[in-house]
Amino acid sequence: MGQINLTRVVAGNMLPEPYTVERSTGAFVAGGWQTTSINVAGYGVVSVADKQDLQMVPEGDRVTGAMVFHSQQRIYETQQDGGYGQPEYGAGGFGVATQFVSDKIAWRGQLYRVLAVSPYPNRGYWRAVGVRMSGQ
Amino acid sequence: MATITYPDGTSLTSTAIDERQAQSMMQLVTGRMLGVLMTPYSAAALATLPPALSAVEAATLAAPWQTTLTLTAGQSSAPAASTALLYPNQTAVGTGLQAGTRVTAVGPGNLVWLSLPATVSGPQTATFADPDCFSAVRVGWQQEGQPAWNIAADICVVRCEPIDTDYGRMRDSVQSLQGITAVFTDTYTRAWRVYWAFYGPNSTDRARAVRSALVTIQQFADLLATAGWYVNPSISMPQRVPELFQGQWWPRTDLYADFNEQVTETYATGTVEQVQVIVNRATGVYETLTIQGD
Repeated sequence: MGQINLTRVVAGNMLPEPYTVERSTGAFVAGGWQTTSINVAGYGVVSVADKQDLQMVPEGDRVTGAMVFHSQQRIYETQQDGGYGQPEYGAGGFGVATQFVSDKIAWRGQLYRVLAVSPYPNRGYWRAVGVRMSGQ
Repeated sequence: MATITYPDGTSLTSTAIDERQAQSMMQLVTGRMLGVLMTPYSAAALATLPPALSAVEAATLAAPWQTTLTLTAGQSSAPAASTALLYPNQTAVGTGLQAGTRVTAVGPGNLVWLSLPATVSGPQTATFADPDCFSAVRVGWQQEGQPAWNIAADICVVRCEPIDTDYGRMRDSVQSLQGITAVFTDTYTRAWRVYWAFYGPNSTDRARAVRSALVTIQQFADLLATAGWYVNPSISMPQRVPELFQGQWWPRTDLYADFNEQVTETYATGTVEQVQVIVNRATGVYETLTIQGD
């Protein structure tokens, strides 16, 4: 039985739009984890995972929200560090990765941190949910 | 040490360290208590420590760890002058060692096994470092998280938080005069609780080791004392709390200990140096006096 490849839906010319993925690398250093990142161009369908709610608390207003990003390229969550004597950085079942903490996706002036990934490389795409980081 | 200056020019200076410095210090001390090679420290790494500790330990922390290896060209094992603090996966750099050489095993008879064969024969100074030392002992509450760990890896995560104690509310206040500046010196004890989460197959034993080292080994007490920290020797036994995560039980043991930090705060304010008093009568100035401060 053949498999359905959804690449044309995810990155065709109807709904998709560009975004930027901030992909991290980093190291454990004195005092904690230090992240550095590079920007990677992303392209795919973007839709709403969770509406933008205004939280009114005594300290001020905060805006929540989450978006869904589709991509032909892999989107990463925090990868397991092989760590102390363990060489298998981020193997995770999809080949060795080079990044370490979750991707951040810049879309329309906001940064979204990836908190969930649905891996469908067998159908030609990745689906990630990112939460709005700024709170405003 | 933080100093706050107020609009009237007075200032409050404190020796209190912040939570980042506290956690960095406990990362270093914990690593040493566990026998992890925590050197060399870069300038940036030194700057994360409490200033007093950084100053006292700078030379030691910046020094590379070295020993002499008696190499034989083409062989991957070499006797070492000392195998203290040597363990697998450390990097080894020196004449006769190929780039990327790591320690693979430390055997009996001070024999060190290397991942790549030596290229020269004879005694050579080798420099060792553990690139994973800050991974072996990590700091919790990182802003955007941090990578996880392998179920087979022995890692430790430290966290520090100030806690309230009755003793911490008492203050010893002394006033003194430095020139025309009045200095109010307040000394008090701030208590901290340090949490260790040990993961890995040896988590329980490593928690025991840290608990023992805190109260029995003077060098760690001395290290902490440079930052004004003193351990409360009444430490609960480590608690074994394996975690059920994704279908597996992950070994975990928790430990916490309380520390007292001696905090000295000085508030400096100006005093009146002299006052001129002019007494007037209807006929004019009667007398002019100057009152001089001490």
